[in-house]
Amino acid sequence: MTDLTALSDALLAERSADGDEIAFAVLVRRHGPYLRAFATRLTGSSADADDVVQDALITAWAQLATLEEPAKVRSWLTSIVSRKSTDRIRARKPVSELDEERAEIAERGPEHRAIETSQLDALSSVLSGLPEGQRQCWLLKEVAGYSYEEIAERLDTTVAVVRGRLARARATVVTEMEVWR
Amino acid sequence: MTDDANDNIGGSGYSLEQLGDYLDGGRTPAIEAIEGNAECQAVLASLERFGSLSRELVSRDAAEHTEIDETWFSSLMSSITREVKAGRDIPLASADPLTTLSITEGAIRGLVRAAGDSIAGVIVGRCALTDRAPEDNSKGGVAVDVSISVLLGTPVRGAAEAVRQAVYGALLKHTELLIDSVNVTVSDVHVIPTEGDAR
Amino acid sequence: MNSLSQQIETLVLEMPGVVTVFSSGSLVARGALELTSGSASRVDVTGGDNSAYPDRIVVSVGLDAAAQAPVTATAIASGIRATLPEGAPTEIVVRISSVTGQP
Repeated sequence: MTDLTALSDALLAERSADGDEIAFAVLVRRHGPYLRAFATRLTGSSADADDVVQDALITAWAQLATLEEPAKVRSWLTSIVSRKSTDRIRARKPVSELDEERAEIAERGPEHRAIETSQLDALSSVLSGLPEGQRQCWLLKEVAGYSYEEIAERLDTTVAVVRGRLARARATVVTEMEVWR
Repeated sequence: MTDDANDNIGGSGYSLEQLGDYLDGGRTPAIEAIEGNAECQAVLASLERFGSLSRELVSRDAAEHTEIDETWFSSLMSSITREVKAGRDIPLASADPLTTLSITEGAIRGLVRAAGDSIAGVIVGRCALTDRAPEDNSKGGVAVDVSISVLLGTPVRGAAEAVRQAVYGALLKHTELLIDSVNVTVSDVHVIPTEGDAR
Repeated sequence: MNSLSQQIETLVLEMPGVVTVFSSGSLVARGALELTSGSASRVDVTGGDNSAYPDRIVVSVGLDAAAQAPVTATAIASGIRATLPEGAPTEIVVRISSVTGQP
């Protein structure tokens, strides 16, 4: 039997679109960890991430024929994961953004960021410390590449709210990461 | 940086939020007050860098958790139903009016893939089946379009012809389709030999 | 006691060239079937509760590539037909969903 594990994303996506379950399994193993990592950051829960990614991949299997550029299968899968993640987020009890901002966030400030061993560690802390709504907007914008309109639609809010959250997130990130400039 | 400083980056008159909008808009049309301001340039560079660092962060998270839970994987794969990819039922002849026999389009595509994969140096990509109406110089039937990837170094014409014959043979054996044509296109090249290529 | 659909599934799996029997109905219908009958056969048998023969039998199979698929499909239908009372007007549907020999 042909070993498919070393094949390009494009070839695997094409075969999967035509019904090759083995090719799809290779795609799942190859991209699964990234999708799960993204879903965990976006939903804030690794248990939710497991469900979201599984759901997304089942949907992806059914919709693969609609993928116009097979080579871009990772970003296509990421957008499905984004959609399923935001569906789950919307289904949760709404959290007041103001409450989140008033909450005490320990170890903020540029001097703490300087101690962190790497820029990535610092950014990781900063993002984890953002209020949930701001973090979601940041990730959807910077990692999933969504537009303001797309983010607003996904989070069931307005472009103005998205713009505001992104601006506050950016202000926090720029300030906290100043030592790494 | 205080909130006041965020409202007027480097004295440019532009706020951090506005710089973010400017960056999102692709920095066009160019605004001289921003492009010519060192502090603005530094902030824009930071914003861009933190964006790509965020993507790198997710990749790093993934690299730290490469193991896939096998129960999760099995559950997923058992939910991947064959029905979704079955396509149309292509009839097969039956002498008994109470008996209906058919082969699915999905099965036919699988046959085509297996036939193409059996040729040394070849991996099949896409397979499409299209009905062609009869014309002046053809009886019509099904046009089979196959795209393949070949191992670097494999003679392309020979491989494509071998695939064409293997696919044609498999369809003759397992279906009752009237074949209009089998068209093989080389759409990709791969460099890592797979098990099948070692023949 | 084995239901008719379980018997047919066993029979079909034993036929030359048959690698697997796929679930032929929708997952929802199959789920309901499992709940009510307690059986988990993938062969879809309709009717027959109040008569000597079912109305319809649907089976979806995966074959290996050794024998011609149309020939094997015909043989499967004949094999199923042979389990029914002579002359029973049961509709038999055999669908080939895979012919690579890989499950």
